[in-house]
Amino acid sequence: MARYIVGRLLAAIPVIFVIALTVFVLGRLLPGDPITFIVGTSQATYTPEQLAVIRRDYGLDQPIYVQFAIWLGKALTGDFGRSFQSRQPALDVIVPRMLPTAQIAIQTWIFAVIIGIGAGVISATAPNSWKDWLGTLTALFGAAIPFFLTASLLMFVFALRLRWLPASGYVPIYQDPIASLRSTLLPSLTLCLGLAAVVVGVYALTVSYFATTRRGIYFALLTLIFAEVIYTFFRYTQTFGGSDGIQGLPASQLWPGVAIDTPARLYYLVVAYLLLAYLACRALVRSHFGQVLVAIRENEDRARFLGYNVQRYKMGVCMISAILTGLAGALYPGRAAYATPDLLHWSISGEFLIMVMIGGLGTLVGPIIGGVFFTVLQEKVSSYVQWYNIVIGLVLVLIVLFVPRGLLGFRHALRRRPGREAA
Amino acid sequence: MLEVAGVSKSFGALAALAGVSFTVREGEVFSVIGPNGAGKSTLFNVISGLHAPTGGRIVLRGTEITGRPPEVINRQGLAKTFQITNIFPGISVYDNVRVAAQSRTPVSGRLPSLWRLPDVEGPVMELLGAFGLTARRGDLAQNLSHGEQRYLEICLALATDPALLLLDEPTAGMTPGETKEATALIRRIALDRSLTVLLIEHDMRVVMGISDRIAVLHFGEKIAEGPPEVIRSDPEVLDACLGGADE
Repeated sequence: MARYIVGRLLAAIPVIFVIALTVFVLGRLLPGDPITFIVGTSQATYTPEQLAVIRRDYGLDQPIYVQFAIWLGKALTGDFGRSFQSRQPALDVIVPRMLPTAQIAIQTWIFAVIIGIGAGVISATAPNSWKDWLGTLTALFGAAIPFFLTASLLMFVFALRLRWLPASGYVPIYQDPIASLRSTLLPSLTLCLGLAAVVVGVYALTVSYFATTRRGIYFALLTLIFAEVIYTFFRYTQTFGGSDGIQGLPASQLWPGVAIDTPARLYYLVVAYLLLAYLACRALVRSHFGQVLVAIRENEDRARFLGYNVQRYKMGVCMISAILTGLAGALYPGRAAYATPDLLHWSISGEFLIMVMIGGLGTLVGPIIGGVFFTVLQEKVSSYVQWYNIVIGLVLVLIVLFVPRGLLGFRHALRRRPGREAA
Repeated sequence: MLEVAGVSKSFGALAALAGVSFTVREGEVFSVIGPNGAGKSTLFNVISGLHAPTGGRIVLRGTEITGRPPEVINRQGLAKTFQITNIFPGISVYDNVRVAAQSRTPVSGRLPSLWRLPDVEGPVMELLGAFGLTARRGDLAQNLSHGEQRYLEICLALATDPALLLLDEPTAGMTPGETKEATALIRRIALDRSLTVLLIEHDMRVVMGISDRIAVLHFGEKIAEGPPEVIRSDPEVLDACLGGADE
């Protein structure tokens, strides 16, 4: 054991050296002169002679390997230099942050172990069951969602809305362990789970578990009933603003600092997302999973007798569509800085169904065409008459009557020679 | 291979099966015959997992499968065809067999199945060839003739690589010529793949020609069991089955 520890410690030396070298070289390779950090943006007010003096003071006129050697020598003797930002010795900046960092790291580790091992054991005892899938998906989303996104969501719910936990600040663990735990709980949770997707995922899983035990129209009705329950919850409770919903949402950020705040940016983001979603769906349809879905659509019983767990496939596709629409919903605040419970109403789902029917069921391009057609129709007609819903309804009736396969089927109908229909 | 022990199934007050027991040995063709309404299809549905039995046990290759769902029983090595043709009508013949064969690939049911499509072309083409469907592989399954659809359904069942194959009246609706051909084909494929076959059949010529042993059901009870020669001359069977069934 002692030999192992010594071995690991010795092995750490080259690792630290390589990391230090990499960080050092990367720092110098980045565009921009370190001088800019030191003198700020007022560089123009310095004469070239003054800048040269500052350079020499900081040793920046030496070749890079000499600079690294000087830095390494000082670091080994405990001198880490000064922070460019605060001009304080670097150690004074780092040391106060070490305790919270260590505490968050350890707590994260504990949470991750409890949740991870727990989920792992559950998954392992029931391989290929919904529990296994839940664990896998949770892990996948926890890993896939950026921390800053999860952090903002958790802060919004637990600190700003529910006020269960402080939004910022740190209480040292030696002063008050409970308050300390509370102040570090959010960052720890953020680091070990992607909660947002978990919320959507758990909801979709619950709904699909009950709904997929039913078929056809009963399945559709059950999902709508669940939507009504969720709608009613948000509409008549005040936690998320009641009927007014959440107001004054900031524009989404693609990554920190890049906000989607102009219509053009939002447009291109939506188009990019549409393209990605389309490609993802196309890959999915062509995958084994997608082929089994087609088989289930064709003949559910036959698929069962070929060894496919039909309910699990239905739940899977339910969750995938929930995640796709969930992500699409995240783009919504870019269009309007609010989210009202009306968006949860089942009639919104109904609009989606109408779009799919207009475009053509069982295709990938159809719903896109249907969506464009429906939206344009709604916008245009409603700008002329108040009773635009009647016009839209009539158009739908005509489509269902004359091109039951949707606008995409219209193309096929035109191409087909007359008389072949009977064959 | 398959042990059926005292299996009963009631639908409300109607007892469709009353304590039926028999054992199918490995490698044999075992047939269940009986007049309409004798409980043959119910027996198959109970064995294959569509219905849970009201009583009794079913053991497949040493594992109890009583009341398990069809997808689990199928993965234990039991595949079945249906009395009424049961295929994927709206996709091609090739895709029908492919989706069946893919259920046995390691990726199936795992996360990578979301973006990968396992290659099963070899076994699929082999099956289509054995049943003379190679030329029709691109056609929609619903456009096949009745006989071809029956063959396709057997392909689907075989693609899951079963140890025990349940055939529910495989020659139903076939012409006498087709029936003869189908019987020979089933026999040969069972031998080639060292399959055990459990067969429900109405057509006595088929049963007598193909079976190693036969069980006779009558009003949900087994009234006789034995090799074809014995069954053929059993007076009770003649009375119950052969007399009434051949309308």
